[in-house]
Amino acid sequence: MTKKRKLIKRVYENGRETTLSLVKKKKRVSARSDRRLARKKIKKPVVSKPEEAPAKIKKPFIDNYELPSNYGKTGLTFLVRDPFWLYAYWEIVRDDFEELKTKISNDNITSSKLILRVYDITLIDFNGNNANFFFDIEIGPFADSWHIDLHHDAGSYVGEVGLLASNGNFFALCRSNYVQTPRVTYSNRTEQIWMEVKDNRVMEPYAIVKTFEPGPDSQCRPENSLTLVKKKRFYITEEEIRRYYSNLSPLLREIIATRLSRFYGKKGRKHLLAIEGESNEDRYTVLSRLPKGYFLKKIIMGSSWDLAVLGQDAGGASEKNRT
Amino acid sequence: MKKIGHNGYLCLMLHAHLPYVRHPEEEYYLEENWLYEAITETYVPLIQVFERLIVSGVDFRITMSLTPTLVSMLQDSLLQDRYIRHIDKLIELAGKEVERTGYDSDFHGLALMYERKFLEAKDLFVNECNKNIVSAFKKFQDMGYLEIVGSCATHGFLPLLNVNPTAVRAQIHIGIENYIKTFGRHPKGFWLPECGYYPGVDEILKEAGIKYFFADSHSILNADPAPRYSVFAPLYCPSGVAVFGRDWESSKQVWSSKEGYPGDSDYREYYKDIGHELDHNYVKPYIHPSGIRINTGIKYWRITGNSQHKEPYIPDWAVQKAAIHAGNFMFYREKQVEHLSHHMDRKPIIVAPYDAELFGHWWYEGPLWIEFLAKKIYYDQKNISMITPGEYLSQYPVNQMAVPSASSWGHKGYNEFWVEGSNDWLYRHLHESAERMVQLANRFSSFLDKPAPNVYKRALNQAARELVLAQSSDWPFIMKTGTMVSYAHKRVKTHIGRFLRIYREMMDYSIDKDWLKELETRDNIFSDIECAEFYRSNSKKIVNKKREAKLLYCKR
Repeated sequence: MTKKRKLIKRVYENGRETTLSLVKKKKRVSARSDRRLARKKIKKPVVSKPEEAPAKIKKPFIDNYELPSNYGKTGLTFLVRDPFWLYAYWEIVRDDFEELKTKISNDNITSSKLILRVYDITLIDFNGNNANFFFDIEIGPFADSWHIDLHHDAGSYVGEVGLLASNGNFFALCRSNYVQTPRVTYSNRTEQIWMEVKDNRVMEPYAIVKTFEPGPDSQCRPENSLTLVKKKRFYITEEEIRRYYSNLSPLLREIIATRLSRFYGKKGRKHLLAIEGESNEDRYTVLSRLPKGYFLKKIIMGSSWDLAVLGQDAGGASEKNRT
Repeated sequence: MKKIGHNGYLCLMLHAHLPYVRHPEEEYYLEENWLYEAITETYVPLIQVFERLIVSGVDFRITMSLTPTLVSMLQDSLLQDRYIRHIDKLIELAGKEVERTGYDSDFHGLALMYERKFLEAKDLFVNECNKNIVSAFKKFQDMGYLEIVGSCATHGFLPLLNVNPTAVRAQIHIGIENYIKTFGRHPKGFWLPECGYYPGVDEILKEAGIKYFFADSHSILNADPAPRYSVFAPLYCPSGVAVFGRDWESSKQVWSSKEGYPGDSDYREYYKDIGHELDHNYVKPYIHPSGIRINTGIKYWRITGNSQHKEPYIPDWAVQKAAIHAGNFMFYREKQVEHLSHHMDRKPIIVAPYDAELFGHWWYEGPLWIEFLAKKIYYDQKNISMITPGEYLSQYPVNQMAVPSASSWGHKGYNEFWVEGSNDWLYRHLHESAERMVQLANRFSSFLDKPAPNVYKRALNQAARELVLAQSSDWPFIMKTGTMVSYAHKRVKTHIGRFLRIYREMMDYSIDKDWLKELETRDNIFSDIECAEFYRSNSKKIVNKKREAKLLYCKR
């Protein structure tokens, strides 16, 4: 009796067909009760029929794409094309642009121009207003990319897109990435730094330091009179060499910054590098870190790095005072 | 090869690359022929040359790169089967040609030659290599004759991708992962696609455990500080990775379309093919099913001269010329070495990199020229010997350090070929996609850590695959050269479109599984590599590699 009640309840709840099939599967109810159940008229609640499983038709593989015209991000990107050309592309989102306009006073807004400003930041740690020079390109509202002609090779650049008001004020929307163009000629630096890589190990790089002494004919032709008396390897730490090269390219600088903070911390040796070259007695500068009796000539390279020629003076320590 | 008495080295470098073209959705696909032609005309002949040299006891050294896209295609069973179908058709056509030219003394011999070559190619492909010709190159590397260098995942042009350093890193690491899976060892060297170098990329190569790479001549000449030995000795980048510069003299002798060897009048003419010449009904079964005439590979004419008039090809003359040219090439290298050895404290190395497809495909006698060159260097002289860059570095571990100048080996030497009016629109999409890929990989990184496959992990990896396929330098290259442009457009749009759709669906947590599954069968490149792993900011693989690289730096 209870079984029957339960069954009827289930029929009410789930609909007749489903319950029947379930019951049949379980084979709990005999064929007789099954027939009886089938005969009994039960007022069915309105139950939505379970949808028939769709026949397995393979979905068509739709694969026609057009590229989006914009990505909804204001931004400017520079790419180096060759030593004298950059390629720039940008996207300006309308909201950002409207927001920028509110910063400009009403008198100036009508005559303001949308420009691309290119800063030359060669050998400079750019802070926004210390560029070597900059130039503007009026880009108009419809362009979204530009090939930029440059004045010289081996430069570093960064750009900004923004509005130039008639009073000369510039309001930037976005700033680009830093890029570095290659040099088209030989480097005018000839110092030689050597390095050994053996069995997967990178040995400390070194420069060969030559020590000269005034020769016998020093009176008549001092520049040709120096004779080589000693050769010595001068080792350079990885950090030093990286800092030295990082002056050459902002791209390298970024990489080096992360490496230094990770592996070295802030303490490092003094910026010091010895190179091979001629010495000139008059302008020696003595740096304290050197072995006794050695002194250096300072050559300014780049912004903060000193390249030095190492030499040995005859008088030893007393010569230090000749700074 | 350590012969006593020689004064310098020649490093012959063959760069084998084809873009990833695989279309399971269609029975015949025109662009898939690039691969089939290259197998028949370049890779198989090169294997035959190497085998002959080894059998005859010639000790030679050749450096090669087989890019991951090419390796993946050569190892793909669908393309392998389709190649057999292709070569069977060619054999059938060559058989018909033998019959057709029966009474023509000029062409009958040629038809026989082609038939024999096709049969040999099939035999080598099916029986010797078991359909996988990469295994043959692996064998030569294991024997010590070849040094195979790694390359980027899909030949991405790195100087234009470096807006997003992760994209560059992923290209390099996926390429190396693929190399290790294929050749069972870590690559010593690396081929930067199109020799595209920029200062800083060597740092990423170092992380990946690479010891050397190649750059074009002006990259070394304009290095800072100026190199002591020009391109005739490697430089170390500040990171400690060595760079070998291309020698311009030897490249010009082979590359130049005017003065170069391949333009000689006795060599086979590439542009006159029976697929274009013979009666349409006759060649119809062997060209594209829709009736588009294509190259079949059977060509009967020699270059003859600059005019349209062509004379029949005479193989004996061509062989003779290849021998003469190999001798000439060697003579100039000897003179070069002789001259250089007066100015250097070490033995100079002359690095001569070429596209491998130049040999055989464009310059039909090219593989033969390599064979003659290797033999002549081994038997005929004592001035130079062949070497691989890895061997040179172990002989000369001390080298000058300098920062090479950014460059490529493309037209005009920089990036212009890949970013100019016809293809510059591409980069905003590539850069944005790379950025979004990083975003995806970081947001769903927990799914990557789960060992079991799940739909998010699959979607992530597929997104990475679509991205690297879109980054291939071949697409902007084709757009610039102006042939098959629509195909390049289609491929770029497809891959970026697919990537953006995966991105959208993942962000909405509603991935269409059927679609994803279909995508996985279509773009199945690197299906055994977890490509998305390399886009995570905290990728364990990369962090570990960085740590290893760091340990290698040692103080005195």
